[in-house]
Amino acid sequence: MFIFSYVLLMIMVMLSVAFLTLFERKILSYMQCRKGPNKLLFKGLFQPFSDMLKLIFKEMFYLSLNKMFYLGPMFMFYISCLLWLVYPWIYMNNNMMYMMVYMLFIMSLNVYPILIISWISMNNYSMMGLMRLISQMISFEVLIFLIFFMFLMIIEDFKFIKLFIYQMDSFFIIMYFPLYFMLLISLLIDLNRVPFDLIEGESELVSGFNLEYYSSLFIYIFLSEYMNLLFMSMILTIFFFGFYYWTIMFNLFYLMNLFLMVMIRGVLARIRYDCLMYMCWMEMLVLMLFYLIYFYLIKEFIMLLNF
Amino acid sequence: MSMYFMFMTFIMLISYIIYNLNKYLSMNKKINLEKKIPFECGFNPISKFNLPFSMPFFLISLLFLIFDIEITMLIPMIMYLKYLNFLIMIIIIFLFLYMMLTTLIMEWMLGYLHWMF
Repeated sequence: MFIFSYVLLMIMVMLSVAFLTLFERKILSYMQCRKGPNKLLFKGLFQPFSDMLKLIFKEMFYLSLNKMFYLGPMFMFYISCLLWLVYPWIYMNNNMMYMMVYMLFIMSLNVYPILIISWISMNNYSMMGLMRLISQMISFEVLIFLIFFMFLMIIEDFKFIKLFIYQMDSFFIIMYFPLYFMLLISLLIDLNRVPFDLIEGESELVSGFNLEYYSSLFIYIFLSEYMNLLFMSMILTIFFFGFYYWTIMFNLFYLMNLFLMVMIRGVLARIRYDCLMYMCWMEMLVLMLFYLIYFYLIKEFIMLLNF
Repeated sequence: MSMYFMFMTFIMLISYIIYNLNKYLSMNKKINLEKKIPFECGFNPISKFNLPFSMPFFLISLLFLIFDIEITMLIPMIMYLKYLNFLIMIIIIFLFLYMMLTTLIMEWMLGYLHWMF
């Protein structure tokens, strides 16, 4: 029975990734005053399946003799599947004590498959993309942890359930309003989405780290990126809008966060690389450290009031 | 424990299935030299792939190491919040955050954070 629930979860995540691509294409097309995919079968609803079939029927040949060339994307897919293990839903069987630590561990592990992929493909462009991507992901890893630490400090526990319990009366978005945007920015950088997609930003870095990848090996990279996108919008919903899971409001706010993360792609222009680094180390991190002291004092004050 | 193991094997099974589907469904063409060389816009690659990279990328990863160690020190502090008393906790947290701030500001003043030297 346990394995059945996980199989169901994985299949549903795959299906939602398939429809997320259609969702993104539709939103981007309507933002540019055109219609997007609207022909296939019923109003273009089966477009993602035909895209997937196209990728599967593409030619497969052995570009490199190294095994890591093929195992790297699989490893990337594997890690983002492991990330979905923490999803708090009604058939969740694992009650890990240190769920948040596990999540942070897997999120920081996300750098390695990209390193393997771009190192093994032996290409100038992917190497340049690798250097940019790793330094940007690493520097925002610190920021993401400090933001999570604020929540952990308030709830004094590592479980997701405690987050729901603490937000029964008022949501954390009221208390932590500036943090919502800071977490959104740092998650967008972690996902390499558009205002910060500096790995494929310039015309000379053709497509970043996944330049040499084709057909089924590209499917893994593609799937893991979109699975991470879904997971990050889930995190935003849990942390800031504490509706109890498996309710309609939870799903509505989940979709709202997803819509926001996708819509940003159509709105904003990308920023310069040195501006990004200055934003991380000089502005956000210093702000975050002062903010942490401030919230610790508030927490102590609340604890003193209770005595 | 076996539950997680089954989950992991299931993920491996999915990736194995996708790879093999592609292998047997796709058409085969003859392999020529142009297909095997790394991508370059229209030319054969001239330079080697491992170029010397610029220093700030390396320095940023060094800075991350220091902050990563501080993060690992911060994780058990959440459990202490329950058990230790106010005075000790205030001293610990303030000292720790003061250390993080001073290291960050020192690196800033020494100019390691500036992108161009």
